[in-house]
Amino acid sequence: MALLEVRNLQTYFYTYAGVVKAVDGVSFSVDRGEVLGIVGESGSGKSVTAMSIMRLVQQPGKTVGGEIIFDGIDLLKLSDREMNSYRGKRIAMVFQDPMTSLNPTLTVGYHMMELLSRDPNLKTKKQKIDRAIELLRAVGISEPEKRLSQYPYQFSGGMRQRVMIALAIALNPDLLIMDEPTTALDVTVQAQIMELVKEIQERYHMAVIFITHDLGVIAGFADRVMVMYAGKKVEEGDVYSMFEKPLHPYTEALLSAVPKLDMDRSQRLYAIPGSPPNMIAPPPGCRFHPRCPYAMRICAKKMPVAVSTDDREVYCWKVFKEMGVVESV
Amino acid sequence: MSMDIRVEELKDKSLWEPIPESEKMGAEALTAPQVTFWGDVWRRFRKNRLAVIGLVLLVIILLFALVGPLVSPYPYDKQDYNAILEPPNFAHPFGTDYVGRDLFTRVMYGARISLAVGFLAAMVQLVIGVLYGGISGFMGGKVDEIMMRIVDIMYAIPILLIVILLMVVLGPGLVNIFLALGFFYWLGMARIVRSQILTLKEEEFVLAARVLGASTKRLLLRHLIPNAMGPVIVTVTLNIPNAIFTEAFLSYIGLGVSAPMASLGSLASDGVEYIRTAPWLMLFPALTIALIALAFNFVGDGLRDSLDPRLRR
Amino acid sequence: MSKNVILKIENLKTWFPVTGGFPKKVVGYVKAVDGVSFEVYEGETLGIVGESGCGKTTLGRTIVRLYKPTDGKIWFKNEELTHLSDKELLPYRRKIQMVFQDPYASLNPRMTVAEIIGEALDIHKLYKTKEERQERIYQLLETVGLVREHANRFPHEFSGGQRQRIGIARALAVQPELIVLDEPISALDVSIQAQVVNVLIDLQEKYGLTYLFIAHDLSMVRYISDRVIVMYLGNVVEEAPSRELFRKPLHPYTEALLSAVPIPDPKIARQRKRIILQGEVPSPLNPPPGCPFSTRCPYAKDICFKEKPQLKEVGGRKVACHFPLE
Repeated sequence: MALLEVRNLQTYFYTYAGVVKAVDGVSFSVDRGEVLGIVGESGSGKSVTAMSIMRLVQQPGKTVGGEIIFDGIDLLKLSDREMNSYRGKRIAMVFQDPMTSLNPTLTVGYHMMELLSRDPNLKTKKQKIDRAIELLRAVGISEPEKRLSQYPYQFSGGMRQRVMIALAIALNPDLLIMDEPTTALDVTVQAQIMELVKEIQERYHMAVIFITHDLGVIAGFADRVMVMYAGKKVEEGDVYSMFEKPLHPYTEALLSAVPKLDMDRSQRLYAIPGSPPNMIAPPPGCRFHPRCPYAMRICAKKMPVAVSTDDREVYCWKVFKEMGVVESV
Repeated sequence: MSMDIRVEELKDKSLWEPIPESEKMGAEALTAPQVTFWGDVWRRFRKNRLAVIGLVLLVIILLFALVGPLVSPYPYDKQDYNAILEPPNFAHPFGTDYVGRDLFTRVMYGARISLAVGFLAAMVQLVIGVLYGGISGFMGGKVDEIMMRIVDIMYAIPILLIVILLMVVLGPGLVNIFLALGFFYWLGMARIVRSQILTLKEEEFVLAARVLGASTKRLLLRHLIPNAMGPVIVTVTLNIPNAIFTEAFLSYIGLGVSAPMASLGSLASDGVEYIRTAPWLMLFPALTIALIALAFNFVGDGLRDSLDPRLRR
Repeated sequence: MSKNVILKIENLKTWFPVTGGFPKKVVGYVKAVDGVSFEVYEGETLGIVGESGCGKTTLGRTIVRLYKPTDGKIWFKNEELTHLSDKELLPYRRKIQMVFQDPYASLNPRMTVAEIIGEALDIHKLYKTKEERQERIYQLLETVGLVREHANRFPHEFSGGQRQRIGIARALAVQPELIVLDEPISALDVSIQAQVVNVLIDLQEKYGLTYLFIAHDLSMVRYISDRVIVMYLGNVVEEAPSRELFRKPLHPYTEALLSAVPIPDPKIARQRKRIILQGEVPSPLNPPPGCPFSTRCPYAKDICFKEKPQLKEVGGRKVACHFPLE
């Protein structure tokens, strides 16, 4: 059984201008020890998906439907208190901006001690301090003894993200959700952090949901990839086959919008026309159809159904047609 | 394969034809509704019930103060010894005072003075405060340092001292209060505008205008000040009741208007003597001040919420 | 050489004073740009790459004279711009333009698109009649792929990519020869970046523009640039034709930077050898005494900590390293 199974998740935002269906019926699962990458652009609903799993969606947002089955329990049915015992302990999260998730008036040591007090195996203060030092060392922070008494602002961006990772793995969670953890960092620091995340994932055999807009980052890390567009899943599959032969026109377009290693200016990049949809009034049918080069009449009328092959799941009428299903009916 | 669609629906061959280019929506079509900045502000302001109540109240007070005296049958200084200390009645809705003057008319005139003081405070803030703060923030460096220290020093002088000094020089009168308020009311605004300009001048659209060669005047008047207007307007509306209270206070302690002119402060002060026998003399002027202040505060709060860019979606 | 130099930078330094105490005293300098020299040729795209804090944005802003250089010289063709006053600079403002990073902050929210683009025309008095002005605005909008109906809309009604094209139209309005592009696509979604890049390339071909393309996205820089300059801590560490630089970096920092770039191909991404740098960029307030990269360089030797290497020619390229990679 999968560690996490999300079924038909719906998280809506009730704004002044209307209802934004930020996540609109998304289903996926994550196995133990597996790395699932979620790729999408701003407004695709990838971060809201993560926040929904953690049950951290803020007003005016609300998860209005679906199930989030974690280790056999539907998280959406838990009381706030029960949910709290899952957060940090069984499911941990690392955010894009570490500064907002660390209290600037408290030392890094305080943050760690507070979290470690939830660990029943650590009884004395000495044990907790030792564990905190061990964790900081594990994420590559030098002189951890000294660092414990420092405040978040005394850490650089990359170091803060390391602290966040140390906090996230402190209670040995089964699932780690990372929401654009390297987006705010420089490439060389990003490479350091990704190296660390890979090492930790392998060492603790953790399941990871890695959310990013950067196809390059996901290519080097994920086992499976899910592509989101305008609150919907459009394609999901094995990382190798998806990058080798994307099936959904959006995935295909994304991959050809970034320059390949051997390209120069004489070959133009594929520019996806138009802009991401206004989420208050998304286009009918397939949400990508106004920007899709292959759009057919049905795409503007009906939401695509899932087309599944052994390692892929695609929501696209073009793929549906090419599978030969239409002729057979 | 999950099939929540009836198969027959998919048999229509035309469904599987490509959408012709001519039927596609333009790639550059704008999906966001067309609203101007102020249109958007108004939309949000309208949804705030207290703010709308404040605005309506303000309009009523304005009519009361500006049009009221023109249609009132009594001049503000007309004494009527047949109607001394009358309680509120049909002929005199707010009653009459100890020499038989119609309080309703006198309160209307008093409200006029209050609003004039408010208007003056607003103008001083908008003209002197915005320009002073704008120049200080824009120039930066030494100029800014000196201009702001001047503001600091002026802040340290109590307003009462200025009014008393002015009274010694010019004799008692409303002019003193106007001068004193004019002297003070731009200080806070200058600070607010300065800090706004300091942030705004690093914004990329201002840099872009500089790269195009925009003059200082253009930068200030087209780019910096219009974008600082949100907090400016909120501060102005929230400062007006302060100025009105200050005037009322000064008039109450006898440093303001002289008889037979009346401001809400001096009316209330006169009324205190009769608080047991004719409480309306104190009540109505005081109530009017409170209403004016309340109305401006409601509107100011409403504006702050609707101008706040963080609330814009 | 047939190539004409359009912009020449000589030993440019832009330092920002750090003040403290009472009365205020200068206690130090942030050496954002610390002695940079290079030339830009007419019609080419020169890429400038580096991580945050390397001084690339400050360099771009100094070139358009948003900042006063502390030292050094800026030449545009045969004119020295370094010390010109705002008034004297005005004719050059027409020749050198800039496109900014943040499409949400670079357009005045209180002005319509027509006013934003028209302002450029107003400042330089580039029209005789109102109709001519209007027509020119429409033309510019169409040049960047927008439509004339957009003229009376406000910036917030547009998407990020559209806004960035409005910013490009504003820069184009004065018919510049050189445009400094300060991270023009890094704030945009991947699906939108290509739109803007394609517009930039089209415009360059049509008007023979020269670009200074500042970015941290190396794959895009490699794609769009003829030559590339790599900056680290206010210094140029390497300068080379784009293709050669990416094929064979000479500076250890360039090598590490290239190996850190994520590649959207799982097979290559997992096979390649990566050089993971230790530590982070030192503070420009207090740069290391020797080579600026010495604190993180995996190959650093004694001399690197003592003596700052100068940018010198190595086989038609330039590198600032005591021990360039073979």
